[in-house]
Amino acid sequence: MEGMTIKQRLQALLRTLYFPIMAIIASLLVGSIVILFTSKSNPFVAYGHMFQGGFGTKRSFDATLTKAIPLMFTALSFSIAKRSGIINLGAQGQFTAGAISATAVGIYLTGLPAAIHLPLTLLAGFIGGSLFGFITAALKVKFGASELIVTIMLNYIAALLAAYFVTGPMLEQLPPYYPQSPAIPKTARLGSFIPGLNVHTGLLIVLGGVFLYYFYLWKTTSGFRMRVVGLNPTAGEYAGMSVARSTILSLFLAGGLAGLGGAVEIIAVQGRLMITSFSESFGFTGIAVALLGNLNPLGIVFSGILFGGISAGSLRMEVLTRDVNASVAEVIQALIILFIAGRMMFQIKRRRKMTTAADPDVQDDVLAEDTEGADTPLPEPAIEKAGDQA
Amino acid sequence: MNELANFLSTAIRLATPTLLAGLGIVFSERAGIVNIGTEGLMLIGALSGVMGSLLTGNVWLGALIAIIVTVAFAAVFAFFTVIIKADQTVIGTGMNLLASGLTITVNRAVFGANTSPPKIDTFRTTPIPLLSKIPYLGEIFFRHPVPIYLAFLLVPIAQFMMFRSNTGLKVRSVGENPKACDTVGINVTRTRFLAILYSGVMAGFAGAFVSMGQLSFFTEGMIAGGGFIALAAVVFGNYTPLGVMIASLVFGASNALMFRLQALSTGIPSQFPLMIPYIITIFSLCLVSRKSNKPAGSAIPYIKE
Amino acid sequence: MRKTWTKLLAITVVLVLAIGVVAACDSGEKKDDGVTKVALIMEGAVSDMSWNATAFEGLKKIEKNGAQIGHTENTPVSDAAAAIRTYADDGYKVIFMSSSSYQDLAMQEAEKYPEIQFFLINSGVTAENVRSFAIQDAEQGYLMGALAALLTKTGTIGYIGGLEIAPILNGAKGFEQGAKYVNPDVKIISQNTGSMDDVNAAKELGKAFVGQGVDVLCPMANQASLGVMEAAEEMGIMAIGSGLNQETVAPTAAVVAIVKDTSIAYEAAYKAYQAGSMPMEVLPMGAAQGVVFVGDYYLEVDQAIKDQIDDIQKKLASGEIKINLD
Repeated sequence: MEGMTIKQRLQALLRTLYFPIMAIIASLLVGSIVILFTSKSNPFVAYGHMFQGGFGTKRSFDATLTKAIPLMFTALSFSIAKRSGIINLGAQGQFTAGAISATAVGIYLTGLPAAIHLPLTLLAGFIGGSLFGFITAALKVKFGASELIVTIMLNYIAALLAAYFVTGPMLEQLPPYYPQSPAIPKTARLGSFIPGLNVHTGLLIVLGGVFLYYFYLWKTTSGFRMRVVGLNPTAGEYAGMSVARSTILSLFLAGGLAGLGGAVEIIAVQGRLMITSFSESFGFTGIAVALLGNLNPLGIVFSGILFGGISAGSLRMEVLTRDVNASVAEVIQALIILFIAGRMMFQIKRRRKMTTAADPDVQDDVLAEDTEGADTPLPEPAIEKAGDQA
Repeated sequence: MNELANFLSTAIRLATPTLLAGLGIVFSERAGIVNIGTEGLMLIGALSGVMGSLLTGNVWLGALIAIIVTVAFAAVFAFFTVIIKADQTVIGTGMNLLASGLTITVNRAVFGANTSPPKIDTFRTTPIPLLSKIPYLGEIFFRHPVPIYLAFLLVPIAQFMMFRSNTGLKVRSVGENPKACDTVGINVTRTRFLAILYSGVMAGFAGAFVSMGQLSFFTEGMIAGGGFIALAAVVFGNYTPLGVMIASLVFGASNALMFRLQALSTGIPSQFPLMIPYIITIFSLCLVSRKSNKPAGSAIPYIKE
Repeated sequence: MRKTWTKLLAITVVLVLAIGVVAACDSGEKKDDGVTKVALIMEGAVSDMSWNATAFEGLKKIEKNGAQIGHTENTPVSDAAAAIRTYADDGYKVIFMSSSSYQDLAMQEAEKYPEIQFFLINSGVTAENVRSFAIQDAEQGYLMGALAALLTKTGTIGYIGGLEIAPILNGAKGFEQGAKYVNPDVKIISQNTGSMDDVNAAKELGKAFVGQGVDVLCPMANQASLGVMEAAEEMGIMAIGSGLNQETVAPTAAVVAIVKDTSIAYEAAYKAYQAGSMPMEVLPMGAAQGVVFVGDYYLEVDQAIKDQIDDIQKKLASGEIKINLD
């Protein structure tokens, strides 16, 4: 791969982009049928508003980036687990757990300078989320409990815990007692880092997370072993990483990343923990982002921005069309997932032409194979470039 | 004693959606398919049932429409997972997102923003003559809407189908060893596809029962995790219809217990009793997972060589 | 590979053209015809048959007053700021925000848009261009509690709330005080289901209450209230609704609805805005403003009881009865 010319690289890039773009277009087409049937608006006008609201102006792109941050965190959470063969549907719960513990540190450990308080709050978020990830991993390793169902159940438990904390121990003692924590003090808040824009420092944190995700999985031995376990558990054992260790490590990190996202959402956007803080499905949308991004670091950044844009744009669409519901955005996001998955058919066909030796029974294998692009040495400046756009 | 009868009757009523959906999932699971999208399918069933009942004025026709619509969506899931052989969790997640968005959009377009639900025909309580007169037992078992009787009658039938019929054998072997099935001439793709469609029938009926049997209207997100619980019931019930029934009843009872704990005003914050069903699910998974009948080919697409 | 390239190119061209056409349509639409534009931002679904549905009705009443209206629903806190900016860009002059969760963000954004008047529902803050109104949920609860205590035969009454948010919790406080006001010995069971949408949970909780001897059920849980009404119907006891039309699911159980018609509050706020008479204080919206009232009785009730409830309503309106919210 070292010897590729620029043209070859461009071709490779276009090859990777071809299916996602096709999927997006197909989803928009099907979505337009939904709009036609459920409203009096012209789908193209509706999409125009959506595009304007997501990417049209500096300010709307600002909103898009802000929306993309939590999605990238949960997408990273899903991706790192998936890379080691674990399906983490619990990003929502881990996100919530991180938000709770970050709020606790934020409102109770007061009197510290920001240079200590802020990192501690973020760390608390990471730990809160990773605790939930660890529970899942421990139950899987010890009892063989399917992480699929455990993570879903933990999502509900986390939501109830959050409700308990904001109506109980953390309730702001101020009549008429809204179910919310006190406001996070300034020393633990994240602000905007570009004057005039709302997008906050959380963007830099999540991009840092994306870089670490890349660096850990593709540049360290431990990360390499984790990927090997993800592809083939037996081979992983040979490579010196037990399945149990890989499971615990990856879910710990996955939970931590989602938890960090929860912490950032609270201290940068919402300002305090509220009973309605998690009415959005950050977790499941994050899964969609991860899949669209093909579990690839750069892919996650771009698909996070795309989904953030659809989400931010749908608001404008609802406001300006007056009769197209913003939930159409959810339909489009769902369709993108389905069409992206449809791509696998082509991949399998192509692979079968090329090789017959591969073990077709391991589907993770298929997924891993087609994310091969991620193994290409990923130029670091590319990531920084994504940061520059902000 | 009366309170106990009331409690058990509630447990049965609450177990029914889980059981109905679970009886479908158990076949698709045995065929090697993990359908996370059941939650979404139930949501679609719940909405289309209410729309059907409103349209036809008959709750059974409504349920039939719910089943047809849900099966169509199940076919989409089957197409992607069995034919295209995409990752089942991925497609399931997509289906849930799709169902959530679609039901909101359609519900808004059809029913608008009203302050009262439209009047529809629903599943009413149908006491069984004579049997319902038995003290206690009558109240517990024989004063329910018809779908509840149907759900429990289906259990032995499903158990027989699964372990004593040719179809059941096919389904089980397709999940256990698709390659071998292919060699002896069992059509893996077809069997899996049909198993998913059948689970769609049951999920649609379960959803329709939630919106028209337990309640009499549709609200957005009303399944509230019921599909995931049904999935858990299948694992907890160790992949047999009988086990699914027991698991559903355990979940139903834990829910009924939760409501009673709340009504007792113990001073425990309401969130903790609400966690009971989820905690029981996790515990039950820990208990049974090691001795599981989980098919060897679970969640693995079969690709013919 | 060549084919792929061509296809990709074609698609891109189509896409760019489509966006271009649309963007053209988009810019052609903006015109200001001097009509006041009023927006409503809701945290929940407009189809909730309760809180948000009534808010939306209020918005429609404002439309009848000559305003042009717009609304967004299911808007989480993290989107609220973006929603405000979108409305601001589109020339909206009045923005209603129907949840207390929006308070912090609304205050932040209000500073940036001094020309826009904000109304926060159920908040306790004011600013130059921000007014809040406090819906007196406690008064609604108080009337429910008093009526339930007068109606009960078993001496046990039940209150079922939804999500543990301030309006619901205040309603519970009012309920208790109202019941004790008419009958200090009445036994009160009060619980929240933790959800405004989980109708089934509300229904089952209602049934469980009946097992504890409750014979009058009162819900305050938005659409989940319907479940409580259904429970009362099935168990053959009485229920007092918390909104109009809830009786449709409980024809033999619903006695009356103690209505909290927030749409009246919205209209009143808009009229005050038009008249330019908005004192810098939190505007209470309760019995005195006609927002909280006793609806028409659906079932036969003793005239003496009706009179007593009317009397309590008047006393709440006049401030003779004060509810303690601590």
